[in-house]
Amino acid sequence: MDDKEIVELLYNRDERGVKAVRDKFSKLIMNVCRGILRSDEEAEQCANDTLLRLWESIPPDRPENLTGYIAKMARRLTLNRLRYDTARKRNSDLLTELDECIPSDCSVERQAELSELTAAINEWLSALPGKQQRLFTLRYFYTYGVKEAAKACGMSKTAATTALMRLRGSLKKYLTERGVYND
Amino acid sequence: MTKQEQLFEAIGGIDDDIAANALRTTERCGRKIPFKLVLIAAALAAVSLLVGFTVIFKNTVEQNGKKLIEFNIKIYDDLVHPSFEELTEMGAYDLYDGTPGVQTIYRGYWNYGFYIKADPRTVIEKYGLDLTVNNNDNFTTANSEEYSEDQGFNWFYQMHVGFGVNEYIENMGQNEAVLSFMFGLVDKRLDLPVSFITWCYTEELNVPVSYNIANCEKYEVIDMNNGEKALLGQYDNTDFTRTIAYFTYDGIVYNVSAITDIDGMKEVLADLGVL
Repeated sequence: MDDKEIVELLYNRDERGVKAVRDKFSKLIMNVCRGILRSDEEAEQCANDTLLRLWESIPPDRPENLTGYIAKMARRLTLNRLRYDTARKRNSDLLTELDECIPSDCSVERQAELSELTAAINEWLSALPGKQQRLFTLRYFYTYGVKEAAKACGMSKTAATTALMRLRGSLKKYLTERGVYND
Repeated sequence: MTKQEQLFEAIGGIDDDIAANALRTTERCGRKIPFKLVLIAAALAAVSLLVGFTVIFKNTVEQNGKKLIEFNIKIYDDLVHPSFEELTEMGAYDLYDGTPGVQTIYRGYWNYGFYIKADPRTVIEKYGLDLTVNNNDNFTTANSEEYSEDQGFNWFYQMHVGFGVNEYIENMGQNEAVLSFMFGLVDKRLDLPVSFITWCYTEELNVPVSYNIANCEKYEVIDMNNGEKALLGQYDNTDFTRTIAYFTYDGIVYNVSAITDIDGMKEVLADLGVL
């Protein structure tokens, strides 16, 4: 069943749409949730939350790209869960890497508006060549390990590590020039 | 929230298309090897005639325009479908909500389709077909605890039958009809779960169509005992290696996969009796 048909099912409040989503996307949802939570049990709960939220959001939403829509929803719900679980250790390697994208003179108090930051990241990502865009997205959206992301892109781990470092530098430059973190 | 956490969260708002494109596995990425199955109709039709079949089509697998293998598809235009009552009595149930029965005409995709918890070979026999797994003592259904539904092998217990359009064909504007069986059996000798998808065409193919097969790390073309060739593609994931074999036998298209490497798949095919 193609994604458009699944969206139509959900839009018409046909529960077969949920089953179709489960059949087609459960692995993706679990991978996204597990990549952030690192706990199968919690990931499964978030996966179920994702299905429920999907059912509640379509309609009124009618996503053009169901895969991307579901992946983002799963990620957002998982992060929400993580935010309230202060006892759990975040993916520190990933956050340490992302620190390189933030200008060093950025004020601790001044935080960019989230929507402004997202818009800037989208613009920057859209301008990237396909493989680089993919590598960045797999690493920082889907939280793939560097080795995993490299393999998915047909690169060696060394090449991916170098590419990611350059991408972080490029994003930092873009965010600085865009004035996202300026006072 | 720290700045890093905020950035991480902002990345979560990327465009749906960008998020989805990152998961694409069919594009060429350096070492990956793309394949394209091309069905060539009409020009290569009527190579030979056998009892019960009408037209034979050549099917080729190409790489960068170079033909790797070709194999034959036959049209089983005299196939008799079991009645929905028969199938329901055997245990067929609805695809989506689990209710007993066979679902019909789902939005032009399947003419009908159903799941069934039965020995796949009994269902195949109901259609009057003789696949390589039938009457083959090397394979058994997964009844052991090791292959239970709790272990994640639930697809063994849910054979899927569909009659309609082949989902693997990109150009679906024609009236081609195909009966597909998706099921699992265990190779007893190797103690290995093996997944099968078979396609039996029942109507003439009017225009060329193409399959997209996922890229693989390496491949091998081997000879089969019916004079045709099989393509074995090995896919190396982070946690396991899977090999998929593509071939036709008696004009039916097979996709056989298992968590093993190319050499292991050759063992499976030997047990299937096609080598």
